[in-house]
Amino acid sequence: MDMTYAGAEPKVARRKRSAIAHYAAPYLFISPWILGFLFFTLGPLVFSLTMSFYDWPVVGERTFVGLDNYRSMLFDDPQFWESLWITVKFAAIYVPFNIIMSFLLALMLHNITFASGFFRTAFYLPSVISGVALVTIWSWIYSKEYGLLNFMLSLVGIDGPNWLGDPNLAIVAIIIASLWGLGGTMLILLTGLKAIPKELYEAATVSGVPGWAQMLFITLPMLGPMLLFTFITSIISAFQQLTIALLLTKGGPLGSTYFFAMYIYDNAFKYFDMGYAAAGSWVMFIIVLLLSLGVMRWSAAWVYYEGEVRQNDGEGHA
Amino acid sequence: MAAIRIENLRKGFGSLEVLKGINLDIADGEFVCFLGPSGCGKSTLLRSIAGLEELDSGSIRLGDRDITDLRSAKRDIAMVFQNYALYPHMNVRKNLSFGLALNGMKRDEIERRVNNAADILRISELLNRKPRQLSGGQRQRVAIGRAIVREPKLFLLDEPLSNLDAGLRVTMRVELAALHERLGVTMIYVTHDQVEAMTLSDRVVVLDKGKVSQFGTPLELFYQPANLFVAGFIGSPRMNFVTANLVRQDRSELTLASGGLVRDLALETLSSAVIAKDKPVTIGIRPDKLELVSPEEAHLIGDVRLVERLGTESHVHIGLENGADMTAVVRGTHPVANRERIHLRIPPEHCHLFDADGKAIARALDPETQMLINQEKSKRVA
Repeated sequence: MDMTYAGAEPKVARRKRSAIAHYAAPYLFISPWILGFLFFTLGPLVFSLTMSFYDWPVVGERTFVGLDNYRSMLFDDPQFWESLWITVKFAAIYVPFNIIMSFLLALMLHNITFASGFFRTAFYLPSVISGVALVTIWSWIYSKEYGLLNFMLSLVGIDGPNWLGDPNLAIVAIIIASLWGLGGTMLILLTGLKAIPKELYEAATVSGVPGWAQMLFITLPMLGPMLLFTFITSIISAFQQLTIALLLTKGGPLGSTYFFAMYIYDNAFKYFDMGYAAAGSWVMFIIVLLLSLGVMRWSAAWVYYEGEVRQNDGEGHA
Repeated sequence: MAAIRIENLRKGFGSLEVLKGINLDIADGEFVCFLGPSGCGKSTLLRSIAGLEELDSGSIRLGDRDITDLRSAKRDIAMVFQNYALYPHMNVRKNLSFGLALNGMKRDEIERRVNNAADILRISELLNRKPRQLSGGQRQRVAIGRAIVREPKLFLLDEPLSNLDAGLRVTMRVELAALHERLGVTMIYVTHDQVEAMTLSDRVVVLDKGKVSQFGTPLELFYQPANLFVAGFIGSPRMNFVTANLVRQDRSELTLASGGLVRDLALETLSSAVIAKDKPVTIGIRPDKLELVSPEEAHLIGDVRLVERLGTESHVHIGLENGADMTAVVRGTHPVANRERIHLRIPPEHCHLFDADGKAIARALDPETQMLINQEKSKRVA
């Protein structure tokens, strides 16, 4: 009896060890990412949430203020609403333009056979240029005296305006500069277009379905998931707009390009009010989250997923 | 009337000429298969008829209309695609009615046509399902239904069964034949599967490298192949070929020798036209017609390389002494074994003969086969 027991113990222990290794191995493999996520994403996120409940100067004592930062931002700070309104205006123009222009470019690239690789690269190139370099190029293009844009206008006898100095034009200038980087969106939509089987169009052609109807009833529904994805990422990037405005107009003239992200940035690094800036970040997060959820819910009406079966689709699998 | 006439049709892609002058006359209500190996141009020919390819030259007439330059939608045709081409985001009903609705057809008429097609194809209970909720066979039915609702003069089917498993393919083949019988519409069907072509068609167009190699009834193709290509392509296992020299011709009586033959072979042809003696001829013999005999009766001698036992029959792969390969079909219980020396006789009455250019030299068929072929032809004319 004793011998059997003594012999069985190491076997059980070995089996236990190998079971632990079996279950632990996958987690060990993904641990670098998990640690990175904990320390560089989730950690700062929780930290910023905590911060937003404090009066948190960079130097000096931190005081717990509860929801005061949120309350004063929403009810006592007109700059919050102004910057938010500018951002919403920007998003309302940038998001549809970004998607429509990307879609049209993707459509064009999808249909051309000559030098399509060259054009694909050319349109995508601005997306990989750093924001600072992009702003340097655009500040030269928009320059009133020496700018490329006004030079071109002068060729047709138009005296170009002060693009970055006019409060009405500055936001337009930023929208145009932002749209320069639509290559990424275009590439996603182009991939989507290429994935649509050409037989669907041929079947429609044989059935006498006109081109506009093929676009409306085949291309757009088939691109639905891609359009939804680009819609949401465009909204997020519109609300995060900072680099171009900060470097091109510094929020001016007369605050006409003072975006919400710049408002947060100024509170943090100009006025060193970290708690207030953190509260601003969370307000932005909630706005973007609500918008995204709204779009997702709305998308149920127009986005079709290949693997999806809806309740009203029929009786299930054949 | 929906007879179709194709005259001197040519189509190329860049420097590659895919269709090299196709001429065809297909009768109203006929079921015709385009058969050939990959790359022979059968799908391009079908797509040209559909108006999905622009022709380089030639003309296509459907009934009394020249449709060569007409847009696809105006040709009064319907097409079924190999991968079904169903709109994945639309349910079956929408898939069937989509084209009709956009052509301004009244709702009542659309409803009538959709329900009629659904009844014919037994898919009425599937009308609210999306394509991904359907099995392969059901998807195929919906794709055919989309063609039926157009009530076209001509059906074009591009390898419609090739994505189905073997069992379902047989079922759908039978259903397609019944559908053709019921609708009575001209159908052109592209396939590389000779069983489909032989079982479904009134006539088969065998295409080779962009040209019509032969256009005839299934039995005609099998028993009277016009050339070496058709002889080798139709029939499974494929026909065996032996090259030989003509040693003597007495009007329609030929004596063949040398080449792969170990004994002279005497044959009779239908024509007494003189055949050149300086060029080799090719003897064709179906594997099931080869006879295993004693050495003194043999025309061919070889070694068994492999025996494939299929139950009712066995396929014997043989390497001849001159290096050529042959296949013989014997009864399933035949004791023939690997590496065995084997002696084969070519029965002259079952031989096909081809001249040096690969063209068939006409030979008489046995009366029963000839009667069957004539029946097939007369059925088509009727």
